[in-house]
Amino acid sequence: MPKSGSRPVRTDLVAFFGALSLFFATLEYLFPKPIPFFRLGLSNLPLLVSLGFFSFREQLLLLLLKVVGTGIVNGTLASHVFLFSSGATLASFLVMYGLFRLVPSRYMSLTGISLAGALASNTVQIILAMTVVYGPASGVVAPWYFGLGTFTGWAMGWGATVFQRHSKWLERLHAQT
Amino acid sequence: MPRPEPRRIDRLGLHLHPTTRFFWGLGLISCLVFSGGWEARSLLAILGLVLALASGKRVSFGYFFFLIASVVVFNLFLPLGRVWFQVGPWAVTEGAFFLGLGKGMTFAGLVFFSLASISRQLRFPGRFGAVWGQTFAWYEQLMDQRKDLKPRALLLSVDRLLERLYPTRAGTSGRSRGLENQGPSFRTTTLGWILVASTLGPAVVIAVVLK
Repeated sequence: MPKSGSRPVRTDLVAFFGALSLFFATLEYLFPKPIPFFRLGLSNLPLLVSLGFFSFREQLLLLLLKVVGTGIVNGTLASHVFLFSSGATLASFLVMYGLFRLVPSRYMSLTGISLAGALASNTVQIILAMTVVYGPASGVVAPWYFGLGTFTGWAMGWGATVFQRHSKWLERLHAQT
Repeated sequence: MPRPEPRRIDRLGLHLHPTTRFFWGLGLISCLVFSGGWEARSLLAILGLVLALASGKRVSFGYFFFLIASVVVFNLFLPLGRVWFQVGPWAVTEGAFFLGLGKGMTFAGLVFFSLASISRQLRFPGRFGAVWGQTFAWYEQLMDQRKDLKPRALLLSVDRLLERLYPTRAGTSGRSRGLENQGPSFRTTTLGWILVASTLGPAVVIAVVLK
C-alpha cells in the first residue's frame, strides 16, 4: 500500500489518469441521457482502478484534475454544476479511499467500495440540492436518486473489477509501481 | 460508439483570449448573482444563452427547461405571497412561483455564462498549470484515437490504446508526453473588447436597474 508523503508525486502518471477521467467524462457527455441529471459516472473509473497504487496525495491531485478538467472540458467550471461535481467527487473519494485502506479486500470487493462511494456522492448531491438549488422539498426525490446511485455504483464497480482482472496494461503498470 | 457531432464554431474564441474570456464570464456571473428580481435574471439568462450558442457549445433545451421547471415546482411547496389557486390542501402562490422562476433562471444563466466563458485553452499558472497542460495534451490524444476503441472487443482495444499512449512493456519507446499544450499565443482583438464592453455594460445596467 503506498504511503502518503513517502515519495514524490508521480505527476506524469497522475496526469495520464486525469486525462483518462476527462476522456470518459466526454464519452458520457456525448451519449443521450435517459433521465435528466442521470450520470453513469464513467469518469470515476480511473479513480477506482488507481486506488491500489496511488498515494493519498496523488489521488487528491487526480481528483483535482478530474473535477477542474471536467469543468473546463464541459464548460461548467463557473456554475453550480461544478459545486455539485466537486462536492460529490470529494465525498465519494474520501469514502472509497477510507474503505480501501481500512477494510481488508476479503471483506469488501471493489464493487462494494464503488457502491459506498456512489451513495456518499448521492448523499452530498441531495444535501446540495436541498440547501442550494431546489429547496427542502426536493428531498422527495432522494429514494429515486439513491436507487439510481446503487445501480451506477454497482455498474462502475463491476466495470473496474473486470478491467482490473483482464487488463495486461494495468498489470504491468502495477508491477512497475 | 456515439454518432460524431457536427462541428461547431467557437465564434467567441476567435476574438477573446481564454484568460480575458474567463474574467469576462466572472463579471457576467456576478451581475446575474447580484441582480434582484426574476425579470433581471431572466434577461441575463437569455443573454447567457445567446453567448453560449455563439461559443459553439452544445445547449440542450430540454435539460434547461427541466432544470427551471423543477426549481419552480419545488419552490411552490413553500407558500409565499398571494394565493393563485388551491390544489387540495396545496396553495399555489405568486411569491413562491416568481422566487422559483428567479432561482431557476439564475442556475440556467450560470451554466450558460460558464459555457460561454470557459475555453478548453484556459491555462493555470504554477505547478498545477503544468500538470494540467500535460493532462490536456494526453486527453487530446485519447480523443484523436477514440475511433480505435472497438465495442465488440472493448477491453482488448482499450488495453492497446493505453499501451500505445503510456507504454509499460520493457523495451518500448518513450511515453508520448512531450506535447504539453502551451495555450494560444494571440491577444484579445478589438472586436473582442467591444464584445466584452457591449455585454458587460448592459448586464450591469440590468442588474442595477431591475433590482
